Amino acid sequence: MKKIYKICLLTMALATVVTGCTGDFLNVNENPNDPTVSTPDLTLPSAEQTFARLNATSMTELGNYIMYNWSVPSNWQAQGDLFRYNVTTTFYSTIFETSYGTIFKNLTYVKNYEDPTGQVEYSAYDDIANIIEGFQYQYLVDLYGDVPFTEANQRTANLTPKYDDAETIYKAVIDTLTNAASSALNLPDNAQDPGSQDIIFGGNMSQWAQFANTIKLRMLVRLSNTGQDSYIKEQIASIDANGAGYITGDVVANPNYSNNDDKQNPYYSYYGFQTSGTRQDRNNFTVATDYTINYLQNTNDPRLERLYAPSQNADEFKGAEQNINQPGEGFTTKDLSQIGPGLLKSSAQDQPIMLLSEALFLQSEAVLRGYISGDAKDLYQQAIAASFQYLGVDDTANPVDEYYAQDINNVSWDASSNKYEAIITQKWIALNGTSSIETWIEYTRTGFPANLPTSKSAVESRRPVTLLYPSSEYSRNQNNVPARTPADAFTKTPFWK
Amino acid sequence: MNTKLKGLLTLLFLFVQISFAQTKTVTGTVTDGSGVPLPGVNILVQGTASGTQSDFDGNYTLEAAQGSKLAFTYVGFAEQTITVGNANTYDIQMEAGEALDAVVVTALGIERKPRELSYSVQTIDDDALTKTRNVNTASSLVGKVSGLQINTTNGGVNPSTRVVLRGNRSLLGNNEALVVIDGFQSSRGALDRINPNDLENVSVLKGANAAALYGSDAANGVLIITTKKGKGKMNVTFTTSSEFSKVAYLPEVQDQFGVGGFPDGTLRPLENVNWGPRFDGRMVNASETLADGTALMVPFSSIKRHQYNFYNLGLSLRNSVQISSGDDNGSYLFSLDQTNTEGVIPKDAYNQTNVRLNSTREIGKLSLRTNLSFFRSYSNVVGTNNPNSQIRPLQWFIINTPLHVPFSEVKNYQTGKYARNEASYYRFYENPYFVVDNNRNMTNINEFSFINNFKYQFSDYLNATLNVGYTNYNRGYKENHGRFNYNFHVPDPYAEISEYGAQTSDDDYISRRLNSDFIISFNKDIAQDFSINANIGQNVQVREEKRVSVGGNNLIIPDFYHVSTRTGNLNSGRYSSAEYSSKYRKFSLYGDVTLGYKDFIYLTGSGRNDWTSTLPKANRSFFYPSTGISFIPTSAFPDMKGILNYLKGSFSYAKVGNDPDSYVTNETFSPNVTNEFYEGFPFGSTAGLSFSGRATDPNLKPEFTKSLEASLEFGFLKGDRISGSATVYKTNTTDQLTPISTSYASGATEFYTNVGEIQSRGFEFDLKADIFRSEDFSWNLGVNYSLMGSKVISLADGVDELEIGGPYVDNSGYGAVIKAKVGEPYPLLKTTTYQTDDQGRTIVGANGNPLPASDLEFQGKTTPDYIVGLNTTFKYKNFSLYAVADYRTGHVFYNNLADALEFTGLTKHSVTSNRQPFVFPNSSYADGNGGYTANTSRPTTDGGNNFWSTIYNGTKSNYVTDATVLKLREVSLSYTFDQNLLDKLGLTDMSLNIYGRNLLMLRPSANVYTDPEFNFDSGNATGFGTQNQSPYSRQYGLALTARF
Repeated sequence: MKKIYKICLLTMALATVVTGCTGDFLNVNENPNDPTVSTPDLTLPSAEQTFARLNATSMTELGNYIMYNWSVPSNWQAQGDLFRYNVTTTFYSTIFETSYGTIFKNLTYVKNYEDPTGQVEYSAYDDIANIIEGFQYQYLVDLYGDVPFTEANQRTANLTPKYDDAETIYKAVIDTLTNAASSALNLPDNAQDPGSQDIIFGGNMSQWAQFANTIKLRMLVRLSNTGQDSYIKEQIASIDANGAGYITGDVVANPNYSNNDDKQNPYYSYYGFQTSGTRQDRNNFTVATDYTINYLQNTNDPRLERLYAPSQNADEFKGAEQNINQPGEGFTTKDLSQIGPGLLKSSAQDQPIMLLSEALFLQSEAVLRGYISGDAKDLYQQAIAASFQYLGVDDTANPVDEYYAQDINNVSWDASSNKYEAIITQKWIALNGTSSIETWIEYTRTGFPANLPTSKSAVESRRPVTLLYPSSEYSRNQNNVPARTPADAFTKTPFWK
Repeated sequence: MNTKLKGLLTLLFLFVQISFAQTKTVTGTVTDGSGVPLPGVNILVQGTASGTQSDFDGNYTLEAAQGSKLAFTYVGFAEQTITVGNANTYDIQMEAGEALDAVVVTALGIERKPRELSYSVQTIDDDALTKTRNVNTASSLVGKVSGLQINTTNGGVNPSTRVVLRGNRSLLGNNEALVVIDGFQSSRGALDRINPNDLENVSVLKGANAAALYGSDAANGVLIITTKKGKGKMNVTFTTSSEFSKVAYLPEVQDQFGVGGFPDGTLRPLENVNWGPRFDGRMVNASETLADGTALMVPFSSIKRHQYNFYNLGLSLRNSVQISSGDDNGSYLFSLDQTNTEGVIPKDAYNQTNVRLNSTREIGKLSLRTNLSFFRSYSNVVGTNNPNSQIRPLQWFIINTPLHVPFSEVKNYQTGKYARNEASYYRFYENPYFVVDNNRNMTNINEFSFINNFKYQFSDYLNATLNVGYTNYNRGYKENHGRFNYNFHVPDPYAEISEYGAQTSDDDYISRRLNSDFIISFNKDIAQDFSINANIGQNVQVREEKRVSVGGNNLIIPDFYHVSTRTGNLNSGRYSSAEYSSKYRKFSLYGDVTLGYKDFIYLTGSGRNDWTSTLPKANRSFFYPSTGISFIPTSAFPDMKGILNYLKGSFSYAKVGNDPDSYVTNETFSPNVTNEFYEGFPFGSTAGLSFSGRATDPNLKPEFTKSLEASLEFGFLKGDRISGSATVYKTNTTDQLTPISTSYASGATEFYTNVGEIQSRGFEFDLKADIFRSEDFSWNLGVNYSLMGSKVISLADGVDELEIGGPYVDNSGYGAVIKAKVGEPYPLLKTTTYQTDDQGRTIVGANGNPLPASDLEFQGKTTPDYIVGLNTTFKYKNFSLYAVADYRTGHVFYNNLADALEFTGLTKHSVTSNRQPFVFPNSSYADGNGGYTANTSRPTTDGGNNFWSTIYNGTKSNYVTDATVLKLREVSLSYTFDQNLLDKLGLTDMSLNIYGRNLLMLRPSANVYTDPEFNFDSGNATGFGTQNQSPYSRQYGLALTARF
């Protein structure tokens, strides 16, 4: 029996020794595949790229279908939910989910980052993060109404953020933009310049201030129906006070897009072509509507052949109505106009975030409403010119002057019976295929362009006015997300309506 | 069962005995009650480790000291003991007794009598696994044991399986049973790969109770596989089989309406969707019109068994040879098994080779065992089409070939005048023959395992064992996608697929596992009526994996698939990251004690402490105990024996701790992957890092499963002719290690933490009956029944549901997903659905079309309420007929194949209204005053394409189908040749076997489309079929086994 005890003792001793060594033996849990740290200069471009992509893809698609600019040919079965206005909790939920789950997540990391050595001053990054957040929060409020704001983006500190009142968010965002613009213009001397890691303005902070001012103007114009002119004017005064003015060129993102897989401009790869030049399916099933083609033709608008391409079969401009069931003959992809060269330029093209023309239309309306001083007609015409320029209309024969000189309602400023209608209708044309989501929201606000048809496949002939909260919120944040019914998509208008 | 194993062990111990006793040679014959010789009776010299087994004629010879006691044991007979006196010959007549007294292999290879166990263990012997020559060992376990659910997730040449014992315990973690081969903890896939001929038996330890000693990996139960060892004079077994596979149960489709449909029911000969007019036999185009004005013309009528025509007759040839020999000093077994399979899908091929060398050696008190095995397989199967096109599986291209287009006419897509890609019928999707030729996935697997066992017998009651195993698994995967291009264009095409370039990707994956157990065992009767059995041990596990992958697009030389001959950037192939590696380590100490009083009451206790690399330092050490009792009233009170021959009751409690995967405690950044986009950083010189959507818990703790189990085992009549067991269990898994889905608005999409609780409860019943037994004829029946249910008790605060998975989770707009919900069974299917009124009627809009509800709704659970398995053997003289069937019910599945058929206008229901508008059944509409009026007057807008493939197809609850299924899994008829004939041939054994697998599948009438068992993957999100599956096929085979 002694032998047994010895063996037991030996084993226990061995076990103890081995246990003592386990510390090092077990220290192998550091992830070798993904880094566990990042810095603002590495995470900002990621946020900006996703921001550009979301606006270029889902948001543009939703806007352009709802605003009757695009349809689907008879040989494709696609976009049925858009044609039916089938707004459910899974309908374009990526707008909500990607805004918070990717863009805000990364921007919050940028804002919260503190340099462990204290050597680097990151306030330029904070300002950029705040301005992009402001842009995107405006759309979330415009599209959804109340959304998480004060408790959002805290990760594990609050996994079920409450929903804040839409108007309160709007005003908080306006204040943030005011502060961000002023901070961007008064950076400390030792602030790190984001340089080329800022894929929107290359670290030019006065341009960021201009962009902040322009987003703020867009929000203030949106509030025009709410009877808060004094608030609006007060806020305009703070824009004027920082002196940066509004944007003077198209706001675009470009991290170095190229014709390589996963490196193409997101709009170009989504709606256009693969790196090999092959058309994407989405290119083949995205065609012009009859109404928009006719509208552009009837107003002799040279942007027609930039927004749309002549049909492959007959080399003519032809659109189809929005209907799941297209007529039988002559409505295949090759019979119809597809997306044009003014939108699909190249795989390396800049990705628009906000076009100059939009900013000018906003200023024109703001003048008209008495918010800012200026020449509404001139701004309107400059806006159209900026649109011609973005779309690449051949300018050898001064086509812009020719265009708005026409004695047509909503084309020529003077011939337009309702200047607001002219501005919003022109904005609908100018933002076709780029910031189309804006034209839908502006339609909800103003009802322009008037007489825009609705989809033939919709259950009822009215356009949705809001999106429903994503399904994910009902399963993951059910105590906070407001209840919605399918009918709310058509009746629950934004607070500023 | 398992006399062989015991016999073998006694053989091994013989040597030890010889070395220290004064002995003489004892011989004799063992017979049963009627004087028939009994081969294979275990004879043990009590109090020693020495013994033998009776030979084929019941004779035995062994060395025993005068005065020693010999114990004779045999399945179904009572143990007999004699004392060796002056005589040298002892003939023994065995009496029918308790069947359930043979040993079973339990945790860590420790052999126990079932009566000592306080939990349920079941054993399947090698015979039942090899009846129908299944290449996949996992599939051959189906229907044979209660509590075991095996789903074959796909058909095809090399099917994969999911093996779950007693249902799901973990939400997103692993729920599959641990596979242990010869004491070595193997990867789950090893069960698919091992050669079934090499198996001695499989012990199924169903619950955590049985498995506390294996630690965290065993929380889901364990399949303990023991491989054969060589025995007897050198003998060679040769088996050859030929097997045919035939496609069965392809989806039934409507065959009344043909192609076209735009705008309404118009015939369009080159359409791929069947929304056109009725088939009427008129001649129509089946290709584009060539420049010479001609086109392929075919009658517009549906071809019988159209889809079946695409598939081939599969053929599988399998040869194995096993050489075995063993004596007192050692043994060896060498086996080689080779299978070559040609699939039912043209060009699909698979081959695998298994080589094994098991050897043992006895050197004094030391026993050595070395098992070497090598597995190699190569599969070449059709893949999805080019990722630049719509990524679609082969089945999609087949169902997009309308019923009037004969496959025989469209085969030659390269040079056929009307069949070539430039002109062929295929205007929207590639020709399936093109897909078969150009999209190939090739997988090369090599696995080498080395298991070494040293055992030192200090005395008859004390020994020490060291069991060390190492596996190196290597998988090479190459994926090719061919180029699609046109050499010319027809003048006025109806439509054309876009051209695209060739692509390739290549990845190499290596995993290594090392497992070492050192155990000291003590086994002794310490007093007259008391016995003690104790083990203490120590375990080390090391696992490492590494993967490298590359890919290239737009290959410049068609048919030359190498990433260097490409244009554009090199990419990371089929993974988001080109490089991946991981490490896992664990260290454990454990022990268990069983105390026995007489032979009718046993108490067991065990404990284990793990130290794992994957938890934060403060929480990396965790302990868990188990305890149990078993009581055998029929032994305690022999008077109660009558019709009831054996009864055992047991109760046990166990707790098992579980650790997470490597690195889950790290919050990370990644250059390219965000929530749903592949962002593609770096862009030139612009770098980017995105924060992970997964937040982690710095104080992550182990997850614990607590399990209670009570069971009764019984045997009726002499020899336990009717025997079985009934078990109830309850397990609660708390502090689940789960990445819980969180509100996107929190800035984290997942939070990996300890959260929630799942409870599973179940009842299992197994019954075996020798219904009839005589010299010429016998009939055995085995029934197993498993009732099981799991329920989600809680998730995180404010989180009511958790996404488990589904093939379309990235596409939230798809409308069907597998989820878990608090208070409900798990997993559940959730889909989009219609709005309904208070009477459950579907609400239609002003235009008569049903209105979709705004949010998804739950449709039912995807795991069965219960499973019944049946197996039976009839023996008549030299013939033996064996069959296995199982039945599962009470669950639903998502019929994604029917969803795909909707697009093409092939579903049966799409012709129920003759393609005319119709009043949606059981519907109502709003009366304007808050109420609803029964709809009898508002027909749908359409009865063709517009309705079915858009409105109806947009509501995914339409594809939720009852998953009830009865399957006849295996049938085998074998004939054993007469000894006379064998003697003439110089053979020991020869048998011929005709078998079939998957012969019959009975489903509810609503499911005419697919096998509900198929799943998009083998993860936890069961209940989601896909189009991406090889069709269900039946196999018929013929096998010849000869031993000499």
